[in-house]
Amino acid sequence: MSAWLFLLRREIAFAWAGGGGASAPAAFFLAACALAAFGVGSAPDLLEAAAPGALVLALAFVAILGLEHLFQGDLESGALDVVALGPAPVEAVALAKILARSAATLAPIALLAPAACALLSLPMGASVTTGAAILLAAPGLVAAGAAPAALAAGRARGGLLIAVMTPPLLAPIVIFAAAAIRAAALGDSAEPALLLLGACSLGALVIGVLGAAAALRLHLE
Amino acid sequence: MHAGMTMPSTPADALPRVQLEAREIDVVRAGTTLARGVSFALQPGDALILRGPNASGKTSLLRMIAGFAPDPSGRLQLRSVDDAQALDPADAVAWSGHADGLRADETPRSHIGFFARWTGGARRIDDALEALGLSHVADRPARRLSAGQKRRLALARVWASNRPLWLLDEPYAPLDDAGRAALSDIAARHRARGGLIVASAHQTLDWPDAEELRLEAKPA
Repeated sequence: MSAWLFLLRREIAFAWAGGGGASAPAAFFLAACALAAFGVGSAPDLLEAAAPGALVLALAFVAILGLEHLFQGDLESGALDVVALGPAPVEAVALAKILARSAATLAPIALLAPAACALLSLPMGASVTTGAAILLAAPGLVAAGAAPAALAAGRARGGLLIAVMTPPLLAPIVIFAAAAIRAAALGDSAEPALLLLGACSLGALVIGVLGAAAALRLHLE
Repeated sequence: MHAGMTMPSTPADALPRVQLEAREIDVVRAGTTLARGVSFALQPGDALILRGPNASGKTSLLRMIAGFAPDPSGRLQLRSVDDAQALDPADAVAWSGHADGLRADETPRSHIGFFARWTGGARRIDDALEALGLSHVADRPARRLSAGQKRRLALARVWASNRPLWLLDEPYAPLDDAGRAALSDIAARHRARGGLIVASAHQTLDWPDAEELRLEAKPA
């Protein structure tokens, strides 16, 4: 366990340093929110109705964009071979990579919830729920794409393959994250939707870890 | 920096004693049989050098021993000498492959520091860097190391691991004369402590009493 925490710390450091930290994903997230606002138009009721979905979609795009490099670098550099000969099974290694990636690139976006709400004309009162929804969705979004990312690693046009395979797996998380934000914007209780979002994220984590580890074992052969 | 080439051999970090045996195993990669009927038996202190042309199955055999690729026959066995219990390669193997396993941003010091701990190593980081002549680049990111320095770092990781079975895939290939001498030196010291080494190589190695196993490429 302590060795695994050591691995997690190392993975977070690399996830943070490798992609320039959370700044690029955060910038892309805000840009996607702004584009959605431009696309929907400025009619306030229209934008408010579309905003929760647009916001969560922007977050999902950020997650998908980074998936291609989740495992590819470690497979190409031989780092996975070396880590696999350690005290933890490949599943634990995959879990560390997924958690590290979501902590370093997606979770910090929760801090931008007020800015995103402002861009999309959502009431400021919804920004706490929005931040909570982003935090709950983050590990699940990366995990849901982890198996496709591991399968497609090293293949020509692997990024496209991942982008095609992943969206159906993200659907439950997107649905309940948007539902939570919508409920908060309308002044309803967001708690049921947040609980379901957490459950979906946890489920994605379990399935994603098992699927990614199975795919990584195929690569090790 | 830590002083000198004198590395004290501390009895506290004694190697687990293991033996490795293969009886008539087939080397298979992606459904293709590369070599048939491979047999060898290694006891503590032994070294085996895999020879053979390209695509004769040297790397695939090393990956089978490491447990990356399955051995359906069950006739490839890694055991503890003391109680003859089968061992998981993940607990006993130190690996240096074709790819050195480095990340572009990490320094030799952080790389060795992590993996010494990950594999239960007992040697000090400075000692391992010193043994492979990397002390002067200890804090330089891996992307700025030469191919030979990267290989030295992979070997320093192996040396720091305190694992009994070293699997080295063409370890000499990118090394200069000093690097080759350093590798021969740590290999001899590892064997003197009762460690095992299986290495592939295209040239004759100056390892005393090392067995050679020749794999032949199958005719197409």
